[in-house]
Amino acid sequence: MVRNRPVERRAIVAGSVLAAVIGLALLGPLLAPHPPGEVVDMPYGPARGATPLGTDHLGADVLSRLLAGGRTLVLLSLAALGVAYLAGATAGMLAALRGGRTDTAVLRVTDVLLSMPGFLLLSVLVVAAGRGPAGVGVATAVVLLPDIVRVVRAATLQVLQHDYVEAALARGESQRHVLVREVLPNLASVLAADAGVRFVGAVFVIATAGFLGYGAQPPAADWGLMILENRDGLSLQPLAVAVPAAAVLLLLLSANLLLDSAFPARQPARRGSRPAGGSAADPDAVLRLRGLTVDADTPDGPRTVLDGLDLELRRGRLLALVGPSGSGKTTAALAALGELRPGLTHRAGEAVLAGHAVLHLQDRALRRVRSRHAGYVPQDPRTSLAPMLRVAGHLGEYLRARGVPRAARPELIRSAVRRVRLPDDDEFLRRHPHQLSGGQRQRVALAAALAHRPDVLVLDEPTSALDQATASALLADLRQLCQDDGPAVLLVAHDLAQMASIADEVAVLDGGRLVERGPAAQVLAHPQSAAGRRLVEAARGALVQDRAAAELPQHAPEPPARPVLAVRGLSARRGDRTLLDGIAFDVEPGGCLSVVGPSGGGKTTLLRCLAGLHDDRAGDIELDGVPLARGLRGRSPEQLRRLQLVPQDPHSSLNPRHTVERIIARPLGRHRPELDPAGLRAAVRELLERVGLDEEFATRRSAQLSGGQRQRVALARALASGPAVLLCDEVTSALDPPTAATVVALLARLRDELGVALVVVTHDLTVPARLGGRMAVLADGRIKEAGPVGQLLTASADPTTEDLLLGVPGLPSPEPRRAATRTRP
Amino acid sequence: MSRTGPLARALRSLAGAVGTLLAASLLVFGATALVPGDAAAARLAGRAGPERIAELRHGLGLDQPWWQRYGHWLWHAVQGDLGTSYANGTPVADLIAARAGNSLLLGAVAAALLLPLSVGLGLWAGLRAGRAADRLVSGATLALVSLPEFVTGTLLVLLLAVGLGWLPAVSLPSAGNSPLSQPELLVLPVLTLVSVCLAQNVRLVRAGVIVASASDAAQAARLGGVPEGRVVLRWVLPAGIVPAVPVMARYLAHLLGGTLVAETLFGYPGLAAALVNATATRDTPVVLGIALIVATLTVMLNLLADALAGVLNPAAKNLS
Repeated sequence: MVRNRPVERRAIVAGSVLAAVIGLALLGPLLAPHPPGEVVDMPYGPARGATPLGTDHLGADVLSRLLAGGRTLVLLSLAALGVAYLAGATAGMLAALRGGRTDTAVLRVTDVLLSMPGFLLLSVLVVAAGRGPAGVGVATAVVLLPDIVRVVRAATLQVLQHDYVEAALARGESQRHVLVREVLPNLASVLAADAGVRFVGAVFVIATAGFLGYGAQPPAADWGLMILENRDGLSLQPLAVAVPAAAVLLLLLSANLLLDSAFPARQPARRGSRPAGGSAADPDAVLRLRGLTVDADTPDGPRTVLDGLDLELRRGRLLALVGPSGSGKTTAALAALGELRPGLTHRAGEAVLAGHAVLHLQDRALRRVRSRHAGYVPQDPRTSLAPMLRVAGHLGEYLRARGVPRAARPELIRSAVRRVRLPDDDEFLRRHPHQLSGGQRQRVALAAALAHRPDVLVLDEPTSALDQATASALLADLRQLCQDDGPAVLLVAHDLAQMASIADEVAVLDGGRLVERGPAAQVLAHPQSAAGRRLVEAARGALVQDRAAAELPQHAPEPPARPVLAVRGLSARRGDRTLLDGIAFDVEPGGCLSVVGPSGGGKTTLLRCLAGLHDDRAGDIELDGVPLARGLRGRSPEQLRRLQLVPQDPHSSLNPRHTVERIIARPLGRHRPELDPAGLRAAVRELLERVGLDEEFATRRSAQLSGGQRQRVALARALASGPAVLLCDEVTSALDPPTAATVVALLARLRDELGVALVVVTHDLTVPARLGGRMAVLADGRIKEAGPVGQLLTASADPTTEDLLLGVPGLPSPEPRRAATRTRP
Repeated sequence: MSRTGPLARALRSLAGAVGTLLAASLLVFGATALVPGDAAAARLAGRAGPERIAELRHGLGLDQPWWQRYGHWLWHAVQGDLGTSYANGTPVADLIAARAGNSLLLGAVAAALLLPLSVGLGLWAGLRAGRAADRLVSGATLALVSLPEFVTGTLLVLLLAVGLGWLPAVSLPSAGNSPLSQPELLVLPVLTLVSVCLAQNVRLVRAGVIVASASDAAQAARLGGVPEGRVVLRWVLPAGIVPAVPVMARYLAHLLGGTLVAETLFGYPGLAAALVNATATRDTPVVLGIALIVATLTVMLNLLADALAGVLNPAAKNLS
């Protein structure tokens, strides 16, 4: 990469300087022309022949003392660092892994050590340990300790949260295996960076201790001590002070520079400059993109992101911009507001917003156009609001930007909040974002965007992180706001089905080109382009066809078998809160239970109870008729093997340091210890094939896999143990609809082929529609309703199920009969 | 999450702080008292025979077991009596009172310069990340971070006192005078302290500002037409400062509790310099008294920083 070259060069220079200084410090005593204590001239003698850097307060040669004075500093720093790191890293990791009392005790000790400024602690400890290098080394190690413990503890806690650690624990790996194989490899880079920082810290403390007279005692030479001794002669012989000071500086500066370039802080690139140009007024449409072409700078040269895009939009119309990921839909939406993300370059064409060519405007003019004519709602409700701004403050800022005087704001804030159907009482207006639900946050962002009645409203997948009931309520309200002289709405979406009921028009983007555009009903019923067909098939496949399948008795009623998994009276708590209450169900061998419900309803907790990861629970869970212990420790290896968890997040479910082969071979080897290495490899390939992956994937790591491929590997890992039940936690929630559909199809096939029972937790009703079997609706920690999927989807009795069903967007179906089976409000 | 009110939470963290202070005092007591040699020997070294030393030792109560001495000290300390100096018999509280003012003055002046400078420079550099101004600030702070306090101070003396002759190299006020009567004495120590502490804080604020400025929320505000100045003030600055607050609190405690190196370097009559003298003579009551005061200050500032971080970042309060 082009940008990294100067950084690399700086690292090389800094590294060489550091190596030279350390080398000189270590070898210096051998090179010194005089013994460090020998008096060769008068005190503070000037630089001349035999003494090129002059003499010090006793008349000893400064050069000789300089060469002799670095070895102790460097060696002592390394020793102190080693001791402190060994103790600190062990304590930090243990505290994170064990938690509870160990954690509290370790944190208490660091608190005590941190209750005094470092150098005061150092002084006190030096008194106890005695002056001299040994005492300083011990004291320095203690001073460094608390920060090391905290950094290592925090880093370990972070790694422990990853799903692959839970997956390893859930299949019964020992604590030692988890620490050494799963945690340590992922800590290595953090620890290396931190050790570098601590080395600098150690040099810092030990040099200062030398200056305070704690370390080497005269006549021994030490850089810090030299500065202390020769300060009185500063005006006579500045070299005696300046030279050791420069040596310390060089050592620390090169070390810091090396650290800085070797472990750069993440730094988002800045927005590129925009070309200047005149504005072209066009009063006909509020938003018009004409021949818009945008390139991305990549290491291999420019790549086209948008290719001659034409779009226009009137007030009161809602246009859904859909397409597969990477099709350029977000780029197009942001360009409509005059924004190009870093790394993107405007090549040709125009974006005209309310008569202004926004891609040609400079900052100030652009801001004025945006504040008058545009509103924007970002994608992720977790980050869409500033954490410190209250609801009223947030809206107030937007009104202020539009020149609304302070006195007029409170009333406008209330009406803006009411318009998006949020409460307008003072208590609500005083809330911070963390006191709002995801849906409420998006409504606040929407209220802010609409507060000044803009001409154009751009929303970037505003509902993709919300559950379906919340999402469809928000979209329905958006539809309402758009009518009665509302703004032109440009809505970026990847869920085509959701758009069916609210969009006037749908524009399909593929590879930066507009491949199809038309009224929503028409595009969805008869897509013309290949990309459009793919999107519609994914959406329709999930709903219409599979709902039909679900209504048919997919598996003929079998004679009741003994359930493989039986749950009776299960309740779970965290702290004072009850998460689950009175849960009961059976899963037959080879059966399938889908647990659906709104977010926060307890679905994931239920799976964690089954997997033994949440042990604060009561009630019975029986596997093969045998009650399971609450935690992992009480379960037998056989029980752990027969119950396998497939975690939710494909990004954290695989250890990034391990190859796919290693990830699958580990549980496989435990399950079938008779396999030799060749047999193991063959078995891994067989499993990969079973989940639909080529054998070439065996050598890849998770970074080289797509989200869908990762979920397939996670499935293969779970299958490697030969389980009787697979516990799947929202395995499709992070995938786009076409990929999700293939993963669900894979689950159904595995159930048929292997006879493995499935317990699937999901907020997506298309998943049970595809899988069939039974379904349980879980909300507020209770099962509201349970029964065969087809029955619940067509004739539900509980309002929660009804809400969920209403959240599932309908599609205009080619068969009118099918469309009539759904009632819409 | 347990359901406890803010009062219970405050009481619990206060109790934790007291526990920490007790442990710290025990640590210091152990360090000074459990090593060979004591104040009696140090005071009479070479001037008296063993009987005289033993007599003094008995007089000072040094022949009691350590835990009795610690308990005795603690009992009186809780009542506000920190004992008397072994070295010259003056009450420790008086000595601390005389020195603490000087340390606080030096630290407060340095802190008053440090905080606005850190935030200002960090914000300035963070908003210009990658540009020339940022590279200048980042380079300068990297160089400053690499300079130990004693090197910075010595170089400043070399330049401003010895080279240019503008300022005194030693900051010892004439007897009986407050350093305030000769403000020029404060310039070099304050400069040293600020330049040492500044770099780390600027780097932290800069990093926080860069992240906050690129956040979705700030981007959405810009796309909604909120002026850049308001985006910085309401979106970027609060989010950018939060990660720096605990570190700033540590620096503040470091400054206010007496800065050992600067006080030693410039001969400034502060708390930390007194502590160093007292550790050399094993003057346990003085060491304990000063360490307790400084540790109390540090722990209180940390509590304050936690509270401040809670105000600045309301979501964090909910998690703890």
